Amino acid sequence: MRHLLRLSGFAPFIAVLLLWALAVAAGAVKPFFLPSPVAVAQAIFDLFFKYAFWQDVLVTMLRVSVGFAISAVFALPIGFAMGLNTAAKAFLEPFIDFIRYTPTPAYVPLFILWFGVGELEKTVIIFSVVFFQLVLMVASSVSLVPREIREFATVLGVKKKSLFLEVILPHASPRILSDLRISMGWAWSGIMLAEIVGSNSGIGYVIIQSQRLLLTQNVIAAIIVVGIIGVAIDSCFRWVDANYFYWKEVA
Amino acid sequence: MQELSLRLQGVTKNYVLDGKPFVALDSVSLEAKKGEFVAIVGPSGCGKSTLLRIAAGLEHASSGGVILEERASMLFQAPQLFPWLSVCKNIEFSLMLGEKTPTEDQAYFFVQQVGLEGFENAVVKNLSGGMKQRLSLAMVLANDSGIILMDEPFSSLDAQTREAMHELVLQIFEKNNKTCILVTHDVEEALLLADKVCVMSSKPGRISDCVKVNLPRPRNASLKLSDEFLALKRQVYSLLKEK
Repeated sequence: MRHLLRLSGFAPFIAVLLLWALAVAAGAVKPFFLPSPVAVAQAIFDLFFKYAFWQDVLVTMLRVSVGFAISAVFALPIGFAMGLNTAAKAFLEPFIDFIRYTPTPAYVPLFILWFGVGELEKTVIIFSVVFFQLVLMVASSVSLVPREIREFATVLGVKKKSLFLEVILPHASPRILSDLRISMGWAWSGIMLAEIVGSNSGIGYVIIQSQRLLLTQNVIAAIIVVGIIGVAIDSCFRWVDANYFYWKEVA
Repeated sequence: MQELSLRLQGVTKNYVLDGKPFVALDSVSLEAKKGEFVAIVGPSGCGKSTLLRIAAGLEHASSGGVILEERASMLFQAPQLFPWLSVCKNIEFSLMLGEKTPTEDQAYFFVQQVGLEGFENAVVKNLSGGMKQRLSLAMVLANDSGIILMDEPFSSLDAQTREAMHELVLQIFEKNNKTCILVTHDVEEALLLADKVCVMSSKPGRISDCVKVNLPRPRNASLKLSDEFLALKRQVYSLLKEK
């Protein structure tokens, strides 16, 4: 039964692929706008084996990793502070909310003006996409630790200063992992934006260059590669969840 | 004369509720001797849980004094556990906080005391509600505090599990020399377990009367059918109605 459920996850892929192949074969869309699945598969092969696409893939993954890591390094402690301390929350939340509601693409021209189109600009773009969302999610995850469990720990003799490490952090950690997992997706949105707007390497760069050269199959091929990487990263998060947070209560 | 374990002296608690001042507890005094089991019964909202939280140091009284001769730990209405630790590790965690270096044998001793043998390595989320409350009780026992405060710890369990918990608490209480303060709205439970049942009235919360329960120990559930028990039950009910 569980295997069947897992296999059923492939069904939508197959359905879309079939629809796509049929639409192209029936001549409903011009191959220029939507090349056939076979042409796209060929493009993926060619990109990797003829055009060293893996270099762009690696560059993009490195950018995402750095940008995401820096965002998390700031978002975690600030989120903890906001989740545990009403003063920190009152002080920071309005500002973070303000930035969060101003879409990052609106800042990109400014970032290019300030930082050029190098690596710093890309890191800043990922940071601005990830940080302001992640920090609020972490704050909420920490504040969801029930008062009673802290009180029980206090009554048993856990000191106030060790409460965070011994009770609050372990209790919140499955939720924090899930916060990181969700914001990882945003980091990828950020880097695509940055590479499409101004870059000379990376997956986003390959996408915009292919569009300029009217190589639609390469555009779609690159998008599919991003999707596959995304699924792979997600399954890493799920592996950690299943192996380290198997104890969490599922409501 | 046994020495005193816990004394609440004129404890008053005022809140502001929806902008209006509200007296939750009005000069409540209560004493428990070392090794005594005291139950507090009263309608919901009479402030009995607040009283317990003040005794546990989780809330401050507006006025009045709390004197504890021993450390107090507390059993909550919903079993509180650390779900990232196994059954045994939960107990070890609590043992450690009691400032002993725990050994596996020690932890297993408390596993046995609450009848969780065979589940020592279980994940908390796989335990039933009753087993969770047993584990919570084991942690409170392992914590090695002289006073155990209980805030309606059996009210969310089904009738059968609750009865099993009563027997367990009786066994444990009669073996260990712990002072227990139990807050409950279940008069039968109070009489079965306690040496003294105090009746609380609400708005404002006051202890109106205390009834001595001079029933012999060791006790068990069959006591509930005895004439003495029923007489005491009538007495407490009439006190609850009077208020």
